[in-house]
Order: sequence, then structure tokens, then C-alpha cells
Amino acid sequence: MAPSLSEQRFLAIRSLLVELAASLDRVERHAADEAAMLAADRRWRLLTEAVDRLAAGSGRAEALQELFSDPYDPAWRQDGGPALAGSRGCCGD
Amino acid sequence: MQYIDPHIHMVSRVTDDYETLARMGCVAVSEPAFWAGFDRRSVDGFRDYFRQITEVEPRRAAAYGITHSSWLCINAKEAENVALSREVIKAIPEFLSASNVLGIGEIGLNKNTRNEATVFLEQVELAIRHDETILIHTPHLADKLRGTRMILDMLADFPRLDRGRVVVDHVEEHTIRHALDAGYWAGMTLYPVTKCSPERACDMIERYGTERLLVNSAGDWGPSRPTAVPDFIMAMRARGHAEDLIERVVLDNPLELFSRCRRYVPPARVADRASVSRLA
Repeated sequence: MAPSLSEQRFLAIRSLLVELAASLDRVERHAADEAAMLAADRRWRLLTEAVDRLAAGSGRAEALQELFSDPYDPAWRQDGGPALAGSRGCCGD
Repeated sequence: MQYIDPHIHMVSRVTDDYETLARMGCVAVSEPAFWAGFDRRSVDGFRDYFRQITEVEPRRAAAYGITHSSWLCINAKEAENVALSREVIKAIPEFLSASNVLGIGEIGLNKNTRNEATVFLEQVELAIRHDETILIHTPHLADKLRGTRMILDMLADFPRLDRGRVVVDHVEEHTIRHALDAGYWAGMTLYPVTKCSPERACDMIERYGTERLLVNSAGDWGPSRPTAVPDFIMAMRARGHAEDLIERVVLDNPLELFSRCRRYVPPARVADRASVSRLA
């Protein structure tokens, strides 16, 4: 295994974090005249909550994936199943 | 390193891609039936498609020394037309005797709707009836966790199902554990934006080990990289992982899964791999 935090890996993560920071700044800057609308946008709230979760301990990737997921109801079959709005995707879907 | 891409839609790729894959070490590919980018209007449209992936693509692949296999189904996106889906399900057995057909797939859910669930269940029943292996598509983005859990709920109702002959594909950090814990194979799809990156696939190998895990490109007509599996090999090497561990994931595992299809004949170049002889 490579060293857990090599210089190469540090630079790669640093780059991702700066890119993330710049992306969030960009959205806020472009929404300067509609800050209230942005604050109410569910997607923006998800993104900012995701950033907060980055500071938590291990399992960050799984935690973020769950944050971005629709809730699962184990009793989904009782009413014949949900009809949801889909997402764009792969496999040509 | 020799490798197999167990999920790639070569009908959408140009012939140059076959040459590139061959140069990269690809010895075999498997192609699940999928959505063509438009809804097909008749069962004969599907028959023509099934001929394409069972007859035409294997010839195109063979020209570059690559063995091509396929999985047959009607995909979730076209399952909203339940009447047509049932006609297609009825036609699938016409093609199941072909030696290069691995089983039923990629069935699954896309928007997690009632009709998708109905057609999914009927195709699981078809697979069980014909003793076929199964490849399962799981939904995307926000739908993935719920859809994957729904699929596993439905599969749990089939006590006769051999879980070691079923792949739950497109797993990510939040769904991989559910598939593996239930005894299924899990596929990690390496995609440019959605799904999984080579680095994250390496992370999951490090966390969960190599057993019952596959990596694939799902290369298709959208943004995708047909050489994603070699990207994964490079990422694993960069982390210092042993060659035999990497080979286990990209060659032995797909061979082991494919060998669970009773018709499967492995490529001559890799027929002596332990995974094949172990199951012969």
C-alpha cells in the first residue's frame, strides 16, 4: 500500500476541496440578487449539509450518499409501491 | 494484464473501441440488454436487438480476439408498457439456447414504479424457470438506495433463487453492503460523473475485499469510458496492490460468475484460470 497521505494524494485532495469551495462561492455569487431563493432551495441545503458532514469521522462517502438519497420505506409494498420522479442516469437510461 | 469487462454496451461503440480494448488486455466482454435511447415499438424490434447482441456483436468482437457474451431482457425504462414487456418476456426463451447468452439482464428498477416492479418480478420468475443467471440494474442518484432496497426485498421472496448466480450492479458506498450481505454479487460501474470512480472502486475493494465484487465500464452511447476497467487497474497499482489481487477482481471474478451459467465456454486464453477449473 502507498503511504496513507503521500504528497501526491495531499495535492489531489487539496485540489478537490479548493474546487468545491470555488463551486459553492460561484453559486452564491451568481445568486447574489436572489439569496433568499437560494437559501430555500432544497438542493443548496443538501450541498451545504454535505459540506458540514465532511468534517465528521470515517464513513463520509456513505454518509453523503445517504444524505443525497430518497428515504426507503420497508413497507413500500403495502400500497403497491411508490411512483417516483426518476433521475437521469446511465446505461442509456 | 488480461481482464474482462462484465458490463459494456458494445452496440453503442465503434469498432475502434474493440481494437482499443484488445490492446488494453481485454479478453472478454458481456453485454446486458438495455435501453436503446428510444422505446422500441414491437416485440420484433426486440428480436432484432437480441440477434444483434447474440450474433452480430460476437462476430465484431472476435475480429479483435475478444469473446462476447450477452444477457437478455426488457429493461426497466421500457417496462412501463407492461403488455409489450410480456410479449418480450415470452420471446426471450427463443434465444436462451445460444451458447454465448449468460442469462437474464439487465433487469431492475429505474424510477421505482409499480410497473417496473411487476416486469422485474416476471423476469426473475423467467430466470428461475429456465435456470438462468441474473444481472440487475439499480437506479441512479437519489433513487438508488430506495430502488436497491426494493429490489432486494422482492428477491427475498424467491427462496429457490441461487444468490450466487445474481449480480446487483451499479452499487456505490451506500448500497454495496446491502447486496453483499444478502449473498449476491455486486458490480461497481465506473462512470465519468454518476456512479463510481476508479478511486472509489479501489476504496470499496479495500473495505469489503475481493469476494463477489466486479468492476465494469457500462460503456454505452452516453458519456462513458470503455477503458474504465484498465483505469481501475492503474488506480489499484498506484496504491501498491498486488497484481494477483487486482487480477482476482478484473479476471477471475467475472470468470467465476460467468461459469455459473451452464452454457458458458471461457475464452481459450484464460480457460486454465483457477476460478474456471474450480467450478468445472
